[in-house]
Amino acid sequence: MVEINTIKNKLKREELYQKQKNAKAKAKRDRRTTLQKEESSNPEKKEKRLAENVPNTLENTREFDETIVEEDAEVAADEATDEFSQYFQNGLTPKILITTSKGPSASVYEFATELVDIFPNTHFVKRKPQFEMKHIIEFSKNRDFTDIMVINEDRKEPNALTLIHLPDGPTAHFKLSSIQLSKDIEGHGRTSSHKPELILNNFNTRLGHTIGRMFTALFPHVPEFQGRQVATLHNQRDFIFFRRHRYVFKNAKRVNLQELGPRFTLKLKWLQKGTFDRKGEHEWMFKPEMETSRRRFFL
Amino acid sequence: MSSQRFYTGDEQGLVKVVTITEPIVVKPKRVRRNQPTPEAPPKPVPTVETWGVPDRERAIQLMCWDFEKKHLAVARKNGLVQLLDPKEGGVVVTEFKHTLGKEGKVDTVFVGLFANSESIITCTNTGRLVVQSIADQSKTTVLEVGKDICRMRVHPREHHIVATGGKEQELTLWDLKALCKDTTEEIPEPAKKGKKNNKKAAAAPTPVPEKKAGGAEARYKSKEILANGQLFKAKNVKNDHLDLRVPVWNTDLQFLNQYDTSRIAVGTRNHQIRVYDLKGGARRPAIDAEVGEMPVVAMTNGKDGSEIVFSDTVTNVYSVDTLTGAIIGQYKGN
Repeated sequence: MVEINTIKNKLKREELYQKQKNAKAKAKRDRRTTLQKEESSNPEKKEKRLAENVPNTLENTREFDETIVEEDAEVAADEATDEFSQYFQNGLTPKILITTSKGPSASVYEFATELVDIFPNTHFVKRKPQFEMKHIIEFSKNRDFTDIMVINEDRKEPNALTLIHLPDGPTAHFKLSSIQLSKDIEGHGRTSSHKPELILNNFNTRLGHTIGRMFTALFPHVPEFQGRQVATLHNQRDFIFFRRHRYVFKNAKRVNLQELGPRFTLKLKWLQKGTFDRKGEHEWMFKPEMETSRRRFFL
Repeated sequence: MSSQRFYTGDEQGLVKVVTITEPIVVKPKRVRRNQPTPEAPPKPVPTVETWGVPDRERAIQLMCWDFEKKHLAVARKNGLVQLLDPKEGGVVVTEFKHTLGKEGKVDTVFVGLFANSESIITCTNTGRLVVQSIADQSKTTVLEVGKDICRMRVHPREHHIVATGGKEQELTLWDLKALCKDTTEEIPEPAKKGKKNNKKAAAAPTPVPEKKAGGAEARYKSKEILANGQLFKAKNVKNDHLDLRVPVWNTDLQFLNQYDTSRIAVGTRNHQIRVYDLKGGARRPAIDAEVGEMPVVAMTNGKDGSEIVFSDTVTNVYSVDTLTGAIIGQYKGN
């Protein structure tokens, strides 16, 4: 067979190329139909083929990370006595304060309204220019708040979220992106005041565990299953996707979902051990130099 | 086959001994053509030995070798100061309990730890310096070295010379022998400014290093007289370009010279590295360099006093030349 790229005549070259392309497509079609026929009679063959041909993705070729937690007694002992043990062991009800950066715009207030709806027992407080973060933290501690969320704004849109666990819990700063409010989601459902269930996916490393526990401590301990509402925080490649759904079981195998509430994405920028302190030590800080490989993730 | 051993202490109170041995790499003979590429050499595998059980009350605040490098001194959150024997698997050789209360809203923490064969010297951030004799449990000397101390270090050779620094506390060198003499009497707070009315005769260990001599004294209203036991007290740098007082917050310090107390490096919360030269009698730093953007957290000596390696609050490690104040290198950690 002559190499197509050596033919100088464009018409002839195009003709031959089309023939080659069609032959390839036909070969693929034939292979797939024979495979379908075989597998419809023999489902085990299909399972075998699927099990063997697992495609490589960035997640399943993730770089080896020593901090991934797997049945570690020391980590368990650490988590039994960490800042969230009040929530996990004593069942402390979370009380959240939501505020914004100074001088926010309308979209920030809208997002804050959504956040107040997501987490039960939340209070929104308008940010006064005379109080700095350390004063706000002190006032919240005096009024027995367990968490503070500060929505940061840039160019009229919310762009970051700082989550401070009180009394001296960790402070996490996230970049906020892809915010879609419930009114902008087609076919969205209406929320009820039932306490939601929580799903946390893929928080594997020690850092991921801390962040995962931080999010867990925002929701009430015992969900109300009658409400059939679920909030999901799914971590994939260090991006945490937040979704809220109402589920209904059609039968034992099929579940229908209706999306409620806002969608947004968070990415951890830094984590501090104590409450917010600009000059305090950071336990983890994201720096672009850390992105050494596409298969390296930190959460 | 070389190996390195690291001793780490954490906030769970565990001391871990990490031994990393370089594996013996057999260099392959000359690889001929068309041979399969040799495997990557084996990576060094660390072995970890853990001492203790997790307990947050026994969190380790400070850890250091004693002077003879035989025992590991450890200062814990609940006030326990222990000497551990590494050869016996971290067995506690000696143990002392200090009371660390709460000053208002701030916890009292250890800021200085030193041990030699006779005594253990510890200091808390409230300025309570305790010299505890190892042999005799009851022989304890408690001294006051000011308040809001961030770091106390003992000179490696002259174990009676101690340097402290902290928030609004300039670098001060203390002579423990002189301080000890007055423990029975009332110990005044070290003077910052103004003539201090000393009730007792000062031990006068060294002459007060002042910039102006003799006859000019009459013109100056405030003359700092070193309080009892102080060998040297640094002076704040000149006002900045707006003629405002530069705030003082020393976070860590190190003795640069192993034999005498001539050069001391100090790191501050405003990411400055200052080197004081005591030989010339100057109280202001000889070198004042701004390095990095975040406060200095920990400092250590590089090679023989000409280099300081320090870390800041955001995973950076810098190496600074103490003779010029320039950065030699930086590790942008992750």
